[in-house]
Amino acid sequence: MRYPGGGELPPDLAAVHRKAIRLEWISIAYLASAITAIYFTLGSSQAMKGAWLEDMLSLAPPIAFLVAARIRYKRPDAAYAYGHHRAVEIAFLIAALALLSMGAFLVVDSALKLISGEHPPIGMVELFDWQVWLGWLMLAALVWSAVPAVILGRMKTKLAAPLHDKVLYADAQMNRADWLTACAAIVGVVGIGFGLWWADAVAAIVIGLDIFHDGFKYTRGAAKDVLDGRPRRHDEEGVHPLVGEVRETVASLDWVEQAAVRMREMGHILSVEVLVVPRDETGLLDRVDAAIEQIRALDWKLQDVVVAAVRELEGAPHDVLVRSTSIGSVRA
Amino acid sequence: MGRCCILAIAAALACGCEFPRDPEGTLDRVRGGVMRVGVTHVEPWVTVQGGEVGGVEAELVERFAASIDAQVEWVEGSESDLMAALHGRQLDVVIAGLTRRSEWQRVAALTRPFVSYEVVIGAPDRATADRLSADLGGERIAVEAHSPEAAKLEEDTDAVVMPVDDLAAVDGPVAVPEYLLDDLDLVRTDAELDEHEHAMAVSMGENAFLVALERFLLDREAEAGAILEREAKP
Repeated sequence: MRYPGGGELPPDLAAVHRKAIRLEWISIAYLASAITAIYFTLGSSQAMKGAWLEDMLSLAPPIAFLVAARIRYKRPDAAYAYGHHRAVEIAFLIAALALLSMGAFLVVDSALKLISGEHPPIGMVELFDWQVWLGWLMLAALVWSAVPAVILGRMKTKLAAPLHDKVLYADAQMNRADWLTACAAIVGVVGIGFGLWWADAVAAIVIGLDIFHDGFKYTRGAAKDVLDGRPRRHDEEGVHPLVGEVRETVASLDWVEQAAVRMREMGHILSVEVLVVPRDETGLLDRVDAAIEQIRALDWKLQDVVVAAVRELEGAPHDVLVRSTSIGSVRA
Repeated sequence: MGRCCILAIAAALACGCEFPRDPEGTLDRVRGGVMRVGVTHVEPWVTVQGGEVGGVEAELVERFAASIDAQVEWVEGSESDLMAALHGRQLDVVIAGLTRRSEWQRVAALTRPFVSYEVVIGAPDRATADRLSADLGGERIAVEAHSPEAAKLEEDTDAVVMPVDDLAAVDGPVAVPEYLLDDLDLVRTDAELDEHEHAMAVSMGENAFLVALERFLLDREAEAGAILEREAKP
């Protein structure tokens, strides 16, 4: 067996990953420009402080992604014998928490505004001797801040599936949250223009709840990953299909009496441990090696595969156990 | 959602109606009616003497009222009382020498500044001015006693603060608002202590009224400056 290394991605996916890294750098540059613009143009308005804070929070997922991208390839050593793959999991937790706090902030902040009956003032500004209602400028700024977020989010969603990259997916959700919030603010500003002082807060609460729901889903997913939970899809929609495939593969081995299959996520890759009670010990080493290769061949994500032969599996939970489905089992 | 926004904006433009509007209809009520204005005596911005209200800001408010055919009703009180009344929509405007940096921006909407000026160090002659522009450390600077300028001088510079009651009687360097430099026959230095941007306060969210007042004020910055020059004689 080959000791699991630090390199993870097959060459075609490595190219996709490089593209993702480039996207995240673009995201950071874009967010930095938006943060600076809001800070200098609309820094005195209370409503825009919210937008500013949201943009700061949106920085968390791309930064987490890029930091993890540097660490995860490090080769295993004495200090980190499993490699550094789980850096990605930390990044996922950070990204999920950022989304969760953004949703919570939006809901609480807007609810407080609504309860206090705060009527947002939007007055005039003067730009180079041109007098204009600040609301129009705000609308322009908001449209400008929504469009890149839509594009970046869509590109990231497309890359996240082949890479099995939850950080990237959570970041795409953050971009979705960004443009949804911008739309809520647009509704709010137009509403204020029509004399509906509550429009801003109500739109933000509706969208805040949606973002909070997403944030909660991903934070729960990240916590499950940290707890070595069963691998799940990158979008947190159900169990990862490889779980079933590995169990089927193990069940199809004719030398296996029964086995316990333990799988967990280590960032992009899935770690597999199979504890096998063999029927007999003839050629056991060859069989174990062959089993490892067979499981590894299923998918590039299955790199860290351990198959251990044991005499018995005492006290193993019955839903972890796999019984052989091969014809040989009739004999036993 | 984006399409809805565009439609809404288009509708607002197409019907040509008032945009932005007031949630509580302040502008409609004041136009051709009564405008309730809270005042606090702060020279030279607002002066209240025996029921007569004057000063830079009062004069501007009267001109604004005339432009929308409104009668002004003056209400005198402390800044805190006036702001509470304004927040509860018992007043339409408060003038009290407020600046944009005022803490009141949490409870009231402040207009764009209609007069901005800096507090500077003025010197009796060009040579002194050059010296002071380079460094204020250890210099004796006269300043009106008990004034915010004196506080600023004390906090932000290494100058020796010389509090005086009458600036006109001083013949050394003085910290003064820049509009007094000519009257006191002083040369401006590069040493700037503070910037004041004067604004009026209106009820939160009454955006049509706010925009009407701001449009009026923005068009009359020169006028406001002229009134200040006239009112503010040391």
